[in-house]
Amino acid sequence: MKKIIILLTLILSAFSLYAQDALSLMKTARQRTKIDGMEAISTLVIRDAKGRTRTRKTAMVSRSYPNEVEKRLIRFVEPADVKGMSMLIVDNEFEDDDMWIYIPASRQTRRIVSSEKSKSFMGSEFSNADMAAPNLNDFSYTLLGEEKINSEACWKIEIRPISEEKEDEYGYIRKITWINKKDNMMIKSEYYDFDNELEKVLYIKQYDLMDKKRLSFVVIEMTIENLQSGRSSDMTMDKVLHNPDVPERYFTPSYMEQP
Amino acid sequence: MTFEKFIVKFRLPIIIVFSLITLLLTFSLTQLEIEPNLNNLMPADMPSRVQTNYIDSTFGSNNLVIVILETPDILEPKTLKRVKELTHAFQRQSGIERVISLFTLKNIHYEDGAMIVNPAIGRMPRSKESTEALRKDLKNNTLINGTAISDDFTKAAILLTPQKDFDEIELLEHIQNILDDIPGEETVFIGGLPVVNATIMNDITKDVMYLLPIGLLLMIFMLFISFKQLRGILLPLGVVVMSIIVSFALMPILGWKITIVSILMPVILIAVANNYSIHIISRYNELLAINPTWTKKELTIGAIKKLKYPILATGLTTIVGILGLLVHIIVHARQLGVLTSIGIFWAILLSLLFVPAVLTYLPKKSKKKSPSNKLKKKRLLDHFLPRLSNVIVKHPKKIVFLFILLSLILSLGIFNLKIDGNMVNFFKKDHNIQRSSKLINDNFGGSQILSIMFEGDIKDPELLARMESYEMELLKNENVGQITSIVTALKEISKGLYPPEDPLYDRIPPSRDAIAQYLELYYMSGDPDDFEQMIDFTNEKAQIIVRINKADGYIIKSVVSQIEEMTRNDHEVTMLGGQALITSDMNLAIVNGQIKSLIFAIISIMIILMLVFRSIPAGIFAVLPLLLAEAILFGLMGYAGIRLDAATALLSSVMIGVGVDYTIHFLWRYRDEYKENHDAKESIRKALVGSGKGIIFNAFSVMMGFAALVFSSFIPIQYFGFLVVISIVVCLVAALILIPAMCIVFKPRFLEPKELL
Repeated sequence: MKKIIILLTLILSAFSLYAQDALSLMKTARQRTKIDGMEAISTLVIRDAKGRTRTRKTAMVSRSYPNEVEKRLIRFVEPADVKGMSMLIVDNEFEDDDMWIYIPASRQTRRIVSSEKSKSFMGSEFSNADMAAPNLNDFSYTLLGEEKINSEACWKIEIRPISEEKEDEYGYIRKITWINKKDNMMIKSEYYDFDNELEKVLYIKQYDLMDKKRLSFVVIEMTIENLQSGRSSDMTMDKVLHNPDVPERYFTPSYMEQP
Repeated sequence: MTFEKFIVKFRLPIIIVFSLITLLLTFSLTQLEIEPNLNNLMPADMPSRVQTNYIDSTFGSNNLVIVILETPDILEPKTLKRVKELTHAFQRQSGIERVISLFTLKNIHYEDGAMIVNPAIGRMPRSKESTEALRKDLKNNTLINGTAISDDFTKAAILLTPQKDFDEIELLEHIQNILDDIPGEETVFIGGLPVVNATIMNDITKDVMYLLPIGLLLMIFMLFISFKQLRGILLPLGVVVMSIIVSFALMPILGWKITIVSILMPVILIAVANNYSIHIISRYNELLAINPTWTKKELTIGAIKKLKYPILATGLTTIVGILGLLVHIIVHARQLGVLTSIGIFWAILLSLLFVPAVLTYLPKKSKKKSPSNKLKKKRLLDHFLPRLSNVIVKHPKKIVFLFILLSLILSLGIFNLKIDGNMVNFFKKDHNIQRSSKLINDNFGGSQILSIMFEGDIKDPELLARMESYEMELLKNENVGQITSIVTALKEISKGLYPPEDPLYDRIPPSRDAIAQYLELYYMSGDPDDFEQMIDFTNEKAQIIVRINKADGYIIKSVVSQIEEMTRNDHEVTMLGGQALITSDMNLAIVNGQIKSLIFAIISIMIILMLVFRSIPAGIFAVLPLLLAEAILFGLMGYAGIRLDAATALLSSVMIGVGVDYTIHFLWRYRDEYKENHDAKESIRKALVGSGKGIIFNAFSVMMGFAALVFSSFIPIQYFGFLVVISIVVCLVAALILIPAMCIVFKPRFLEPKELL
């Protein structure tokens, strides 16, 4: 009996220790994906349950600012009928994101105001939140332990939105994330829907070191599978370039309208 | 060895074999299942079902559960709060794939150069001004007004897409639990096809549970009145129960399920299957009264000898009439035809073998006379029948003429006869299903959905313009409530991109590229699943969803016909589908099935009677009352506004099968009489007085059996009971008045005595 109590105490204290660790692990992981500036050409393949695909090729520039603000400009390259369509996204840490869209067919730029992070990224299974650095304060974290993913030692962390509002905003009630010990990079995440059933699994298949000095990585290839709808999407960086000096003028609505 | 001797010799094996077979089949009853999907009434390879399945698999099912909250103003904070909480609870409920409500829909609008994509209700309105501003926004949003709210803001709807293959009854329990958990002052209605299906399933069970005992009790009552002896009750009851067991037991064995039309089966069997044994027992009693010295075996043999042919003839015609259902397109009508025929066949076997075998064992006991009641009744009919025959003999031509005239007048109502394939009308006007269906029809576009499938390059502006023109044209039809398509969605996007005064506001974009870019924008503004209700993944298919806001099958059919006509020469419209198309096909199927089974039954009965009486005119002669009864039946339905639907469509076959018996009985007796005295008028008198009573009792016991249907939960089944009683009255009157009059007027040669049978 005594042994059990001791064991329990040990486990409980380990948990509380883990709880503290979980947040700092997430913070580090976030730092690892934070890139001061980059340019990339990427391909997004959206696949439905029957295996049919829709492909979108985009050019992207992004820049991070010290106040946790990240700006991204995405421009469609293919297919031809949407070529030139552009999105400017300003990711704010504490407020709603800002988004502008340029529609070349009618030469219109419109700001889009929306608060939903769970919304699909360009009709894919990725959400807008998957594409940006997470707002750490929206969640609570629990370190569940250690586990190997593809023979890689990982931390296993449970992430829960802090309130029902946030659950609705992000579209899930919990997420299990594996962060590898080697680079502190998230390599797998499972999303659980409101019935607490596994809905989506995200895999980071490949990432490269981008900035040696700041020790930050860029995801080269990731896949997300929706187990409930049978859909999946792949995002691949065809070309990436580290560029801390992306000009500020790129990130203005008027720049989008230039050919 | 004669048939009678065979029974006497093998009486014990006969009793054992019949009891054993019935007992064995009883075990199969535990496997009985109820058919949950009403569309399975139609053959699975029917184009409307194949197409609907194809469209459903492309765009997802349109068969939603619709929860409606009714209150003076839905923008009251407490109502909004309830809608919000319900939406959340439904979203978290397993079995529900998608929830659409005020709190999931988006409001896209243009404001100071910005396209605002927000939940229809983001923050609860706090002031009167913000409430009114919200009201204006919601009213103008075509994706919300008429979908999640009624135009007058007294009703809010929550639309639930059930998960594929999820048990509908279980789902409705979940929904009801959630509604109970989140109470409020609003009146709640639940509607939609899954609810109709589940309710029908529930009510079918209820009906079978109630109607069977009610029918049996009515029968016992009837038997008690006519026999006042235990065997007179128990033997026919045994025959009926055993044939009901056999018919139901065959369902699981053949892989069939109980449906709304199966409710008719036990009632038909109760009404029909007891006749044969009643005849045998009463003949046994009759013989006993005349020959008190005969042994049990002699009495039994005597009864069977006289009755085996009439029983076979009437039984066979009844079976053939009911087998007319085999040519019906409604799957379960065919099954009903097969099962009921087998049940009746079993009842004939039981009556000719089992009942006599049992009678040879039962002690010879003369019936206790109860003079008061019985005699009075006898006197009544004994006065009536001779009087009737006098009238017939005196004015045969007038009677034939009057009869035909009356039938013609009554049959004119046929032009008023409406066809109705919509299952919602199975329910009474004040039933929840009817009320919610009406609410949906009046406020939320309509409950019957038709999909128009387009295949081609959906981004082609010319195609989209054509889609829009169809929508405009259809909206002019007052029976069309709401129309949604990718056109509606693109126009909604344009409202976010341009201010109202701009020419591109609320328009389909002018070029292919612009359409592609609007679509891309649309993809960014919701869940991937949501888009594909209107346009498929590769943008090669799109659907227009047309909601019809009337519940009447014939109106649904007319809208479907309009759409078929309109899109006939459009090569990009590849098919139509949806519940409305199935309902419309159901309408056609009911009419075709009716005509086919009518022709089949009439012709086969005519042939049988021609064989039985060995004369061609005999068949025509005996079938005439049936045709008149049929004309009067449809005419009366037209006058009374009773619609021909999935259940009442089965009426003719049943009526023909049962109704012809009386004519056969009469003609049989008439021929026997004519053989003796060679005088038509005298034979009519004797035949009427002699067989009239038996025929009238027989008809009343059948009517009594069908009367149980009046207690059904379903309107068409109630009407069925009512109409079958009327038809039997017509057949009875025809057999006892028209046929005798015709015998005098036409003097048919087949009734001249030759050596027959």
